[in-house]
Amino acid sequence: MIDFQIVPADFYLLLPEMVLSVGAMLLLFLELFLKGNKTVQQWTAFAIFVVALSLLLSQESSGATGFGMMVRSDLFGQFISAVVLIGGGLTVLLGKEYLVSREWHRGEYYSLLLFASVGMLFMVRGLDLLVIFLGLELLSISLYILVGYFRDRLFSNEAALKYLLLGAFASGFLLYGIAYTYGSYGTTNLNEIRTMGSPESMTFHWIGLSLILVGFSFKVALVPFHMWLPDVYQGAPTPVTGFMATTTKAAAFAAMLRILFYGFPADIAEWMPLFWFLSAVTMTVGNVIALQQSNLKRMLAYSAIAHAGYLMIGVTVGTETGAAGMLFYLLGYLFMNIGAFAVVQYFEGKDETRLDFESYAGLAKKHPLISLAMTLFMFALAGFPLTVGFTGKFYIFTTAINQGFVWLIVIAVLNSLISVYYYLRVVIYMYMKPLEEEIEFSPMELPAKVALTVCVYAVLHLGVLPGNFITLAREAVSAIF
Amino acid sequence: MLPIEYYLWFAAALFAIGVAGVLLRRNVIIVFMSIELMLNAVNVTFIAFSRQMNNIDGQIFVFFVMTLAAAEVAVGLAIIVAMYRNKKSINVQDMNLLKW
Repeated sequence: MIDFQIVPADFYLLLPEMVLSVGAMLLLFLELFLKGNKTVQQWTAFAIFVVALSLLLSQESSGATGFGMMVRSDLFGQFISAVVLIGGGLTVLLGKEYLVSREWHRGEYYSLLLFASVGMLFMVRGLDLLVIFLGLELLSISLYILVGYFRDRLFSNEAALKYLLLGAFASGFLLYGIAYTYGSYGTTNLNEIRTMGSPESMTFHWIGLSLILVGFSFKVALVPFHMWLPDVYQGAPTPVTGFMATTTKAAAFAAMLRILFYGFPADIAEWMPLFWFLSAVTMTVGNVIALQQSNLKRMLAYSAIAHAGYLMIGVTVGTETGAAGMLFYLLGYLFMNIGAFAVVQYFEGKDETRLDFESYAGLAKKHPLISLAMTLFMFALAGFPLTVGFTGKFYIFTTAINQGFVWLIVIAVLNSLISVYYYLRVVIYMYMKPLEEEIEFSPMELPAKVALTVCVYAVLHLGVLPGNFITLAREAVSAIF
Repeated sequence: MLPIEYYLWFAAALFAIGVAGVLLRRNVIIVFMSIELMLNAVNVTFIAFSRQMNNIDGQIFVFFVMTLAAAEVAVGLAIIVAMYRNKKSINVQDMNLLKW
């Protein structure tokens, strides 16, 4: 058992989390006094994200542990936490217009985004299964509310209820897995599990690890545990969907990597065939069903499933470079997906009727810049060169080929080819079809413009000059091996 | 003291009943109760292991699980109430707006 002592330095480790939680409560408090204009809350929330990010980046990443080995500050946690915080900041910038136009602009939105981010930070920085689990739950519970944010709309209700039921169901499996892991090692601390090496009971170890994997497969939506995702993504408010699709995926994959690679390094090779299978099935199912979608949000949801499949290749490979490829891809995925959802939310209109491909017909003539941005995001998601989608995939795929996973990469490349069809359909509708009806969109507000520009710039920058970030991802990953 | 297997099988049975309830029942409240049953099965498992190994960690974990279950119920019932207000139904089969 660990000698549990708390020293002031421990609190220093958790400064970003503390800033976020206090900020989230402050926003709820402000809500009591602010009437009418809620722009202040948007800026407060954004400032909190910026402060937390700068505190996070200013920390040392030497692998110091705090609170009796409950949390660990290393470059790996820092990298993914930065992804989460950037995603949160962008979502804050994008959310206001959307909510104002639906008369739902409240402080809770920002507050819940902050709470969800705290949960994700604990998930990726936690070194104990208890902390990882609590982080996951804080994240999930905040997201249940965010998904059901429009409480007078059936779509939102239904998505929230489905997410809640399946999320809680998955947590049950995860917890049961943790219980058996505890039974086989006598501890839930990943560091102790790692040093212990072999468990006291192999049966319990297998039961535990497989249940933990089931739990995480639900959270990152690997086939066959993906059924909830399209419904939830479609029914949730669009900015929330963008937030969920990117940051949650990053945090859940990071927690999975930390548990598997840091806690159970000996098991990776044994589990490889299962990961191989999950990866291949997930990307194929995601892409094939995405082909048949007519609703853009739903299409992007299935694309998210397909991307979970691509990311699983990194776990299948099981080497440092594979995991580094995942981190880099998660960073790139953040910008391309939040960008794509930002455009979707701009065009979908107040009553959300303009979500099918047809309503994108001819938009390029009237909105050349936004259409261009959408084109870029679609190209990036499909994996065209000069975008981060290409560099990320290229890095993961070459790593896998070097390790001898030729067939998996053949499947992955074929899948990328299939996906070109549905991504480019959006572009074809925007540029090649005639404009069907004249619709006036109110001009985009400055914060949203800034967020969209950041996404465009990042997609291009990471696509053309990925070097520094790949190096960073590799250094980050060495912290968990 | 009973051997630990008894507790583990008991918990496994509870967990299986919970899973079956989630998959088979149509009333959201009962589905929700089944999820709680799964969490309680986990608690029994934790306590059994904790007793067997003379290690307190597992029992601490149980407190966190209970707290969490309470939080989840609070949010969950709120969502169910919101759903009921709009739809006048809490049947899982009536949740059919979102599909392909």
